Amino acid sequence: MSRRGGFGGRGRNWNQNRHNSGSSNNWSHDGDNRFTRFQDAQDVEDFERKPKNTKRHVSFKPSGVVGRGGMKNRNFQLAIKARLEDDEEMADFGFSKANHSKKNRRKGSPVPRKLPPSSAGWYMVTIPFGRKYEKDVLIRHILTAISPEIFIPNYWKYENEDAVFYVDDAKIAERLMQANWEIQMPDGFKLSIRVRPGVPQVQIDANVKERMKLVMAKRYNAATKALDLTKFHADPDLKDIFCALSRPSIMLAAIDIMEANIPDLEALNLNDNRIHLLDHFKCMAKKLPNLKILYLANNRIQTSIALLNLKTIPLIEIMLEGNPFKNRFKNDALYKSDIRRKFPKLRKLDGIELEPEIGFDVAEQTTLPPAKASFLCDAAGADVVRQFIEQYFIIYDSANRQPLLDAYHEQAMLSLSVASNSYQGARLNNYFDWSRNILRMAGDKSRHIRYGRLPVVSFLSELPKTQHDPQSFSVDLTLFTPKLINFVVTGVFRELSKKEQYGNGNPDSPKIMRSFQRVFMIVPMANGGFCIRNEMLFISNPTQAQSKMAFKPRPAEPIQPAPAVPQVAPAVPNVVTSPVVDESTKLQMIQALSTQSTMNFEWSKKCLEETLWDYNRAINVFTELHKQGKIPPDAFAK
Amino acid sequence: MDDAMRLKVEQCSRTAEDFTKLYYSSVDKRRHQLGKLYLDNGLLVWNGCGVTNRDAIQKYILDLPASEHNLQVLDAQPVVDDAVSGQLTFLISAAGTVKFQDNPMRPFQQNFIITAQGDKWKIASDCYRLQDSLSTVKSD
Repeated sequence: MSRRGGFGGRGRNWNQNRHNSGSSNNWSHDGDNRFTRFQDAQDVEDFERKPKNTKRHVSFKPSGVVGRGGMKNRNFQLAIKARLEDDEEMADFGFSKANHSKKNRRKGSPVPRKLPPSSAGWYMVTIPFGRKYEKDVLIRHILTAISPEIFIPNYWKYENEDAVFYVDDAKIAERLMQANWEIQMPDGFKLSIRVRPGVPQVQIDANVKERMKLVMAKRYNAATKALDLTKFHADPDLKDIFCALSRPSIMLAAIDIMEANIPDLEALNLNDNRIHLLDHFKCMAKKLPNLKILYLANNRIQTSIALLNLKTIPLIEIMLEGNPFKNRFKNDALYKSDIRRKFPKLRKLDGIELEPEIGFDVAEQTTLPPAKASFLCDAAGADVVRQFIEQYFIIYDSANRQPLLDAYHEQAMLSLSVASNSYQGARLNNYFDWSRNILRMAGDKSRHIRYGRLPVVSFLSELPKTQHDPQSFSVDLTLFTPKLINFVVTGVFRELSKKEQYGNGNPDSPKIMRSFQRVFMIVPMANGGFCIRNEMLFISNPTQAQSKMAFKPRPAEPIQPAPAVPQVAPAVPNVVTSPVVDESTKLQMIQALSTQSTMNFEWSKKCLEETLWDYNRAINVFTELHKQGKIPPDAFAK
Repeated sequence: MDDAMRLKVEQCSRTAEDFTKLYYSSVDKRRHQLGKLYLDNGLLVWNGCGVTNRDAIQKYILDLPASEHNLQVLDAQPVVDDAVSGQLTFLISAAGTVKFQDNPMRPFQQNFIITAQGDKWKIASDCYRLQDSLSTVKSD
């Protein structure tokens, strides 16, 4: 009787739409003798199983009789099945114990037996008392018995006295099951081999994640931004753990690794991974925003409805061949239209280019015109604006902003406004108190407008010390007349840490990045220079794209050399530098030298003093001494 | 700041509020009317792309994907200089978020110079920037 135990069907008809009544029909063809014995045994078994049986008959219909709402039910079943898959092992324990007690089965019975299908394609093989023998000896005997078939005993382990391993081939699993009781060990012991669907368990810890990451890195093609995870669990580097992407927890871990390491991934190949659930793929759209090619061929996706979980990913190519759901479509055309409806941007399905869809002629523009770094309403303004910006920000980024006094008009006006919502990153607390936002102002509208040169500069001196990234700047010159010039500078700066400003404080404090926009209205001065009449400063947190590009060299453009001898504070280009170097120029020089040499301010100043404020000489001296290794490390401490 | 200046700031702030309300509802819902807000020889700089003259600006804006602006921050100053003597001129700085059809929501900043022409305010120059317009220029 216990042969029936071999069905593995006890309590696990979750996995099969087969009924006990159906299976006992097979038995009725057997000899009378056997039949009666079986009947007896079945009584016992039925008795044991009664509660489960009733439940089973009520809730699960055999396949083929799927009526209205059948699809829904099946999805539900699938979901449950997957949920339970992890528990398969546990669910069976109670029964395997029972099996032990019923060892008095008939040997060598030629009863045809069937193995229940496994949704994950994995089977657990248990050999009671397998621990008695060396692993090699045991496997050699089994191999001899099932020859010419061969198998690999994956994830070998012992559970009490039993040896347990896994195989991923239904044919092998079936053959092993048939070898039950047929193998006699040298000591006369006959091996029981029990097989049932079951997925190896794995704990995802930091170690497993790290190993997954290494394997993924190995399989990533940076040039094409494509990651090939075909047969991931079978990777030689992961052989000893069951790292199957069919398990939601593993797949989620893999997605997290991709998000953290290769967020710009465009193509992902998940072929041959026995994936049957897609619910947890939903997060991919957000975590991998550039993903547009997805291969899912030869997996176990049961319904096309499951693909709705991928809907938010703007796929242009998908591969779905070799999944069971495809057979549900009467013909290829229906299949194609179903998939296209789910992924309207699809251009390639299963490796075949799709013919363009016929749409309605209301096609609206959806792409934005490409951005340009700068606009000049008058080319003649280029030099003035460039020099003005260069000089302004050198002083603004220096330790002392007082020299900016020269840059502002006697009645200059300045206001600061701050983004009301911080998208991400550090809060804008440092600026909020001074922020002027007309939309949120009651009463005196002139509050928070700095009026006059002195109030403006002392206000600017209070703002956090900064370093601007000139490479991030966009400059738009919108007005250029002899009497009035208006331009807008947009870009990124970072706030200097306490350590950088005062030499103390936590050196590891995070670097705070900000996005800014400044509108300058400048007017000519009597002495030939320009000064600021109006200025509006806007500060917000940078977007992800901005943070990513900020302060990174942009190789396409030549790196600008530091200004050789910076000119006197904001002034027209043709002002000749006086031989007597004033304080603000000295500051600019220190700043420039520090940037170019990476020495700190103190040493940059020292170097300039000793070379009598000749910038070129200072640089030469620095280069020479640095080459000889004569500059102490102190000079670079910041 | 003297009272005369306070008054100017007050007027400027009010105008900025009225103006931006009109401007963003027009650009999102009644784009065909937007051209009227610009001077005949007005200037639009859209992410670094310059467009001059009212008709060209009207066409350029019509061709942009449908938009949804959400104005969050507004600042404005009067321009007080001999250079604009006799003609009221305001600087307006606006910021918020925008969603262009099918594109993700992004922060934007926009600056206007508006000037009084008769009894109407007109845009002399309009400078629009998506905050990270340059950072994405290469990956697009």
